[in-house]
Amino acid sequence: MKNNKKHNAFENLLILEIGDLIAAPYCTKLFADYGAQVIKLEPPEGDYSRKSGPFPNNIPHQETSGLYLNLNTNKKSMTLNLQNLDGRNLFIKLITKANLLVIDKPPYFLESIGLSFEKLQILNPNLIITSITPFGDHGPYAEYETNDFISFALTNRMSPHGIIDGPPLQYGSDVILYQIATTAAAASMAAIFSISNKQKGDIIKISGMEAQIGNVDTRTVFEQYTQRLLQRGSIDLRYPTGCYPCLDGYIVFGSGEDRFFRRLCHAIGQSNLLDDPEWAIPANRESRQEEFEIYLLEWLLERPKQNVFEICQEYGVMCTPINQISDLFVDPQLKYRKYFVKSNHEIVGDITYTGAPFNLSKLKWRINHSAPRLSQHTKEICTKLINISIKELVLLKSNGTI
Amino acid sequence: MVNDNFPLKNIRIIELTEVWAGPMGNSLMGDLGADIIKIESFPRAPITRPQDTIAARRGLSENKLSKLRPWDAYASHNMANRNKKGLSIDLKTSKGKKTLFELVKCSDVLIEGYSAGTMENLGISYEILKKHRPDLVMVSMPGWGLEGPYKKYVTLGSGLDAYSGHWLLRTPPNTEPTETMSIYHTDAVAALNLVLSVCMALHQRSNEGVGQNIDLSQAETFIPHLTKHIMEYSMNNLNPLQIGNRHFSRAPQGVYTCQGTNQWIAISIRNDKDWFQLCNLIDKESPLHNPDYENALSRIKDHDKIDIFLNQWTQEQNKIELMKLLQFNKIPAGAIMNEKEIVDNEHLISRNYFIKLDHPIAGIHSYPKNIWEFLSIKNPLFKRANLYGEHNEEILRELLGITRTGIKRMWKEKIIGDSLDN
Repeated sequence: MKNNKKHNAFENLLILEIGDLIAAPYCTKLFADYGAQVIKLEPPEGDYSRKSGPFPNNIPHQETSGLYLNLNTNKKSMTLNLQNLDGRNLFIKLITKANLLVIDKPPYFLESIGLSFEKLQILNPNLIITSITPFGDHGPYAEYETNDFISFALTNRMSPHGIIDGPPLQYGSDVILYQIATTAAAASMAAIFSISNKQKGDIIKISGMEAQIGNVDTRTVFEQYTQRLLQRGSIDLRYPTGCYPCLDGYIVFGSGEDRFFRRLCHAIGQSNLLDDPEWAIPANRESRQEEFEIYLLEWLLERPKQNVFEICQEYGVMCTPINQISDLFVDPQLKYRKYFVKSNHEIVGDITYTGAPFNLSKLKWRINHSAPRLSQHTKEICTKLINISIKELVLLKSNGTI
Repeated sequence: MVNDNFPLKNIRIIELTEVWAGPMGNSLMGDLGADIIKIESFPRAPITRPQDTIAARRGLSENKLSKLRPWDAYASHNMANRNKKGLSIDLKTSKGKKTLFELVKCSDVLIEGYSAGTMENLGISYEILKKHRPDLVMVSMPGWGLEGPYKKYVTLGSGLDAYSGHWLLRTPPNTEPTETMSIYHTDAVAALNLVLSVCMALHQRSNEGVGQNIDLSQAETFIPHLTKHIMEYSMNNLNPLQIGNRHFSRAPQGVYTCQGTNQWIAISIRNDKDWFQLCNLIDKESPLHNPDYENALSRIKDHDKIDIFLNQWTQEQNKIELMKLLQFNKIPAGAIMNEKEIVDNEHLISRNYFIKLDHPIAGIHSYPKNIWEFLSIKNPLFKRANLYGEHNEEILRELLGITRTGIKRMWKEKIIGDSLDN
């Protein structure tokens, strides 16, 4: 481990991560990229994201999965077989050094190897444990089989999402897992802060289902207030809201509420409409959507999306272009802010990564080193952090513990 | 141990945000024990508190009282503003501003969600507020951040969804993006990142004694959630395919109709083992019993056909019973539940996930509880959303020590108010 003289508040944090793919890795990435030490405890075959790609030129390789590389920057990798006794003992040694354990495994996973959360906290009373499960650790669905798609179906967000008369539709695959990861990170950070305020460790349980239903962009409260279910494909705000075509693509309007409608009239050169009470009074214009859309489309279809975006925004209209992923790489705002970050990887070469999720003026976000190779730091962690001798290390290797 | 140990106890936060991302993030910090003072615009109505009941699309709970005070009875507002105290004040007046400065002196954090430049124009930028509270943690969370050509641009979550590429990802194949709905998912994400960034800065303040300002671009905070697609473009110059409910390696995956109107089940076959398990449940005559389908590649190739056959099997069945049957056989499946069914869901009921609260204007409704459980919090906080201007007097008197006469004067001069009637 690094033993620099000068530490910031985050370099002193030691975080252990157990869990595949996205939820646990993205949660701990949010700490690693701000300077915390994160040790990824991988099973001998590695994090599943190593197999899932995307890969450069579509050639699978354990060390080049784009998903893995972006979600595991700045971390250290140690392989550990928790199913054997020596592996458990190593894990216990790590636990005594750690501030936070983020674990995305079924509720019974640690108990099945004799290590309940309560036991871990006896070993390290200041330890914070953040446990991520799809449905929580009790209740009829607790042991249900799931993945991003099914977990999304079992919230109330899929039912009202889709096109008119179409089936319920998922969001972009995986976004639910990132939301769960960020929920876990926020809760973990609150607990870390409270330890700096002389409180003890804690156990935090995140149910993926509840992390979705309890946040915004859900409709349970709306339905009760209005006795009305949101219908797929419906637009729930005043026109113009939603997507319209323009010369080279599409744009989205956020809201047609009065002040935005007025600004839009100015933006598209139809200020004169507002002299007419039929348009000036919100209630009167409700029934004239089609007529307005003729004016609007005439203006939109002459202009490219970026142009529409910039003109509308100059007038304070909530308008945005519908971008393809490639548009983000040339977007003037992201370029100006140097959002995407290039860094060299020993096998892949230069890689462009996603940037900081937020910028703190006194805490740097940066990619210090690429995601680790499988087991890259096992020896370093064993010898330097938990004082395993080289002799023991050879033994642990030979019996398949590490 | 009966005492609850709220991680953010003794932290006071001033909230100057509207709609969902900021308000929800602050509710979450209220859940964590912070004292949240929500400053609401006056006399301009906050976006989620329109004066006219015509704007019922925001989820107005219609009753006698809400006719008089509609701004207190919108779901869009009340679902995202628990655990706060409200102060409705005109910050454009010098007395309003002075009140804010006094509040900043006794607060730890200030969060604002205006487009960049608005705080400067109001004369309440970080540089100025810092003079009143040197170790202030301040977060600005405009759509695209504090700097750059879009810094003054305005948006809702739906716009950021479009901007980030997520709108197109949500658009099924052979469908125009104009048919795709607006969603507000990025608000949920920004709310969480707000909590994370504030707790990070507070932790740093505990360790180093310094405050700071945070530039939280709601666009940039969401883009990493599309990592797979960003990396596919970054490494291979490929934009994502629009795949609807499908998956690049799992097949079949989709939603299938069940008994009744608009009843669906989601099924996701991860591998050949899941497929084998599924086939065991399906009657022998079904064309799904085809040796070709025993490997994933041919299932991907024949996905359309398999969907039709599979639907023939699901359509006669009850979605909940079918989900239970599939789950009993270790096959990932989930009944699609609408908003109402979620509130009545047996799993959530067994976990006591919803809480009934009486709101004086909106009435009695069930609200989802906290999105996390802390062992050290035995009794989670859940205080209904504040009424407009509800805590004006309490805040001014108890926190700032302003006299009754002083407060009366502020009402009279229309610096504070609790009604949005014109």
